[in-house]
Amino acid sequence: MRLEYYLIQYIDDPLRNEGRNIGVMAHDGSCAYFRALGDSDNPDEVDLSYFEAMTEKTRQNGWVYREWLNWFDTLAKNEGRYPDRLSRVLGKLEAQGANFVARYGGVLDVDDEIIPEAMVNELFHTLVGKPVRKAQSKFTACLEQLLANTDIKTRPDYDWDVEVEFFDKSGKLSSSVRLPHILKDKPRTVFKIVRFRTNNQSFIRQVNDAIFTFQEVQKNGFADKGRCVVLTEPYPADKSSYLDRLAAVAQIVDVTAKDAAAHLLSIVNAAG
Amino acid sequence: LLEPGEKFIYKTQLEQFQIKMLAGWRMVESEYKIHSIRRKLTTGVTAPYACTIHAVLKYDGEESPYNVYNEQVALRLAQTLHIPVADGVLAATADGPAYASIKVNPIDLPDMSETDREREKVAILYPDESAALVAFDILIGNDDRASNIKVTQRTRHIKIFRAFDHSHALLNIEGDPCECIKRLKSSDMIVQFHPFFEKLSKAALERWVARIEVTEEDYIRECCIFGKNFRDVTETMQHDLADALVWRKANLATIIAREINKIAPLP
Repeated sequence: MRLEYYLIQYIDDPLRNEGRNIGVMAHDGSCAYFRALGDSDNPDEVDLSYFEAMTEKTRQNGWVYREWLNWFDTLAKNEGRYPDRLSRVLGKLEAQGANFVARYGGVLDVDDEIIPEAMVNELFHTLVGKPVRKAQSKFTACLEQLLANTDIKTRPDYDWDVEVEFFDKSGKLSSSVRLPHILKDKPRTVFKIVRFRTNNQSFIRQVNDAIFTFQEVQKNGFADKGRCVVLTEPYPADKSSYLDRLAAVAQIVDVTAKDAAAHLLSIVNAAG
Repeated sequence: LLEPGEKFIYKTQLEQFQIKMLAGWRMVESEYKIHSIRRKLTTGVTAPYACTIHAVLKYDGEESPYNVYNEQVALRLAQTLHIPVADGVLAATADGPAYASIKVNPIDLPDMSETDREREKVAILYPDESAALVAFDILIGNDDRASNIKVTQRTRHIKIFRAFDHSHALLNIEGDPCECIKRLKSSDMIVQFHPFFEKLSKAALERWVARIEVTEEDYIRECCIFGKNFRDVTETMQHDLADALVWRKANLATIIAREINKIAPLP
């Protein structure tokens, strides 16, 4: 059996044209096979973290990777029967100057007893492998997991890194606050992150910022206290007074707690 | 200084207006991400910043000698009629004006898949946008829509549907621009193949055709006529094209009705 393969690369800067290997597309003349970093049979479960860890641009646009994986997968399933068409479509990517390209790899003569999927997996591990991801802190990992488990990030009204500006009656800007996560539909839910395990100066700044943010949000009728959420971690005993101050203006969710998802969902799904 | 693409603003005083918009029918609006934010400008009460955004520059070429004019007119028409096409601007180059098509995202989205099943999914996901595009492509005689659409399908919280590339419409349906104008001013549907034929809703198509038909003539003319020769497109050609499109938009329903079996909209 002959297996012809293409290396799928991501090009961060089309001017530099330096590719990073992210996947492999191969065909045996009658079928095409596609493997890529973080892929999954369920498109909603694609692991974007490898792609997001590559550059600043990929960190901010990780969602695009899911769209591309879906595109390559669809291409393999539909055009895999026609090697010429597959080759033409893949070749167009480079000509268009796209950020994702397919570069011809070569032809492998494979023993007929070896199933093509296994060979493609081997190719994938040889050519792409698993790049090193920056180790996530426990808090970041738990927070990501919590947002994924509660489907908050996939809700249509979800947004992130939002700045909300409030105006007085004369139309002048009176204050503005920043929110790392928000559910925009009424009744709105707004989130702030407060890390207890950090240096004192940074910690106090986070607490003050969160309190100010929630006070402004509530004063301007943007969100109720019941829907102002502090996403945080277990707190040391000497900082319990700060937790009380936060609890006076918001709901506290420890993202590392076992019942964090249920707690968060009870806040988000509470009747307005 | 803000990080690129980081800031979205909800102005609470506008909220009532925004809610009104959301309650009714609306087109999916895409946001163009910023490539870099530069210095803060010293003038202006809104405290603006200079910035750059990503774009693709398009010129006239052998295969499409009126490309820049075509793109600019198609954009003006699309903006007038609220058709979801990628935005763009004319950009000054050493070779005269070129067309800069603004990229919807710093990392490209793939073009819409060429497979039938995927097109069907897109038509279901974006019923109004796909119907609008079919009506628009018939209006401008674009038989080359193919997969020239940037669309999100798997990212539920980011909706993007933007068509691009109008190099083979208007004055470039075939080699001679006079022939193109003649065909536009005839009952010839021109579009023989479209990715959303057999997939779009009849009601949505009828709604878009009706919207286009009632558009005032002057708006269509203003989209076509630049008031001077533009690259190789003379003023006479611009006026002739305007006449043809005014005729075509008024007869759009009839043109479509004649070939409704080809479009085969779903009931």
